[in-house]
Amino acid sequence: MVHITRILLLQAFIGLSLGVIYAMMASGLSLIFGLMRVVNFAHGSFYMLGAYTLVYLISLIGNFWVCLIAAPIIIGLIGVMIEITGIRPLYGTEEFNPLLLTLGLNYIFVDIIRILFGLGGIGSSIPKGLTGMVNLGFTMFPKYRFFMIVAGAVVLFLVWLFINKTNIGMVVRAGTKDNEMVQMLGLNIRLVWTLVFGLGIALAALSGALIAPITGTIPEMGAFTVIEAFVVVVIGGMGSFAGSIVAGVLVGEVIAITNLFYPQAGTVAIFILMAIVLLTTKAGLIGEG
Amino acid sequence: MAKSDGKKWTRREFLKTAGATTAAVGATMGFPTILKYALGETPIKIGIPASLSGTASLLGTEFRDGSILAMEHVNAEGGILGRKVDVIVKDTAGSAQGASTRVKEMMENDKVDFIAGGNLGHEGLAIHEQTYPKKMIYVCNTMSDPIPALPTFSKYTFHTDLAPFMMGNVVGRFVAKNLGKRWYFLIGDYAWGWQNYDGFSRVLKDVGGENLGVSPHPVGTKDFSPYIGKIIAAQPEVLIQVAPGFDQVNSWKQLREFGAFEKMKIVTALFMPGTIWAVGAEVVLGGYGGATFYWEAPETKPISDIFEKRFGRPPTDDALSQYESVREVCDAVKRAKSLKADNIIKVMEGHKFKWAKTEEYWRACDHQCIQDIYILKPKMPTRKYDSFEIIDRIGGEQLARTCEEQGHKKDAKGNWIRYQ
Repeated sequence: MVHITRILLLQAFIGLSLGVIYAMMASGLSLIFGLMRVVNFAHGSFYMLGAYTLVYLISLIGNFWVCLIAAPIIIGLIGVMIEITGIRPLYGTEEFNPLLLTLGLNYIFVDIIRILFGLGGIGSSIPKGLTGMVNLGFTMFPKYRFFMIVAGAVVLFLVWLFINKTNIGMVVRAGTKDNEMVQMLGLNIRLVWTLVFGLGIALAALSGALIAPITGTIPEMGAFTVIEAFVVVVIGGMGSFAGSIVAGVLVGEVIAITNLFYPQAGTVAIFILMAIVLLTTKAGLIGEG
Repeated sequence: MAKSDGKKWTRREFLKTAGATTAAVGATMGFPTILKYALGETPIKIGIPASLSGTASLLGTEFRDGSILAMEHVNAEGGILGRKVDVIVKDTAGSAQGASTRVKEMMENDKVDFIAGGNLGHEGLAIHEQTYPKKMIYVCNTMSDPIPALPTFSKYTFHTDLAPFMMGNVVGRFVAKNLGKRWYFLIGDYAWGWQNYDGFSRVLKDVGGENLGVSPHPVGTKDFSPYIGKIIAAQPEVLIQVAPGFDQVNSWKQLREFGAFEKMKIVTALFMPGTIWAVGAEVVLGGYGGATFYWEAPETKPISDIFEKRFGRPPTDDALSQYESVREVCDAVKRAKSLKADNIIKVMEGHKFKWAKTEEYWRACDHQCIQDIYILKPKMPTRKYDSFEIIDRIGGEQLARTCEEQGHKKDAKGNWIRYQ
């Protein structure tokens, strides 16, 4: 019994480390969709760009911590440029236009990385201070995964503070409910859109940067991740930041526990969960419909 | 919920849009990369289906370069039947559907004379389904158990790569003898993964070992942590890992992260040197695995040096087996003095050859290439690409299933019965 409990607790922590990445990816996607109604299909490639930027910066600078902060900032700024030059002109046009643009950008980014770094991907490793295991009392757990959980939780808390406790955050929340009304009040909603787009992209890039040391960094690494992030957004409720966090952790746990008992269903389980949520709720777990 | 033009988005609209776009992405992933190397007015064309994008993109690149080198060598020797050889490489994106579509295009539009390639097990089967009804010679370079066995076997298909059974037989027996008999399996959930599992499981049964379980995972899995907790809990002596490309790298990296190397021996059915060179040899240090070629083996070094001079890196097993595939089909045309499939089959069956390693031959009954298999142990490179040492080399027909086990029978005259 003790043995089974230990395994379950280990899987629960593994699920949490997965969930933090899902939550960061999905919250970025959800923020962009909630405020700007842009279905960002390039989100997976920004995740990939975050990973590549981290690994490349480490090869130049060598300091993991500096690079971990710099990578999402650089990619977030690229996101800002893309919003200003590419997406902004499409506001008010057919709703498919921003979607098609981001879909095209996805291919462009992947091909640029293939040209710059090759098809074979690049190697990266866990920083020295975070190798090895930490004793959780009931089991040993990789230090780096533990760091991922803590770092992800801190970042998501800071984003929550930004949205809920700042003036800009108040505009973001208002814009999510009624864009036109915010504009009629004379607020510069376009500037807020740009900021939120950059923030959403930076969250995707940070997810990629955090995962890079424990996976192979390859051009196609964001392809399935973006689909998983969309599933999390739908489960949590489209446009809901809190929903993305809850759903991200839930999806991570469902994958981890399903893999323990029936690994063949590990991938399909999240789609079943999505179907159940769609059938039983109006707008996801925490969405407002 | 409002759209960018102020209209409301419904959840149904969102899902429809996202679903349609996802389908469009999937469909276009197979967009073909076409590389043509025309060297004569009416060249003999060989179609090369290769996974140039996706999780097996490294393997496809090796296929492409191995094919190009073979073509250059054949043309430098004067071509065949007075004609130059042209290889047409198309991207399958690692999917059965992609492989099937590209091969159909190559046969119908490009009018290729032969097909050689296919990186992954499911691609090989999909290509075979396209080629044999058209009586097209296909040199299949994917590891596959069904290709040389009935009911899948066709006389038009030759199998250069190993049957996974052979790999399981060699690596499995090495593991049982040297590393332990309590095994757990982590396998890619597709044809090659399960065929290897079958081969290893049979060995385990033969030696009286214990199968502690199997965790199949989707090809392209990035985070293996949900599987690792279960593996560690099973406390095996040996973990047998079977998946290609980055699945291998990611799983080994994360097994090390969870301290699995201190708890068990980790073995892979097949090391993929290209991937390991890309990410660093330290990923696989402490493990063991099989290989069909190794570039530093004395019997392989001459062709490896030529390849390295041409492409700036040594060849992987994929590059060399593809080099052999193209050379063999060209050589068969030369010997048969004909492009007719039946004439080529006649000269290939039982033919012995030596292009890139020790002597190999096409077994007449099932068209399986009988060859040596290496057991490799990773080491810290003293120079670039020097990441393995060969600790054993085992070969011969005893590694494969017998012709009878493959389902093949002879007629009253002693000839192998061909059904398709």
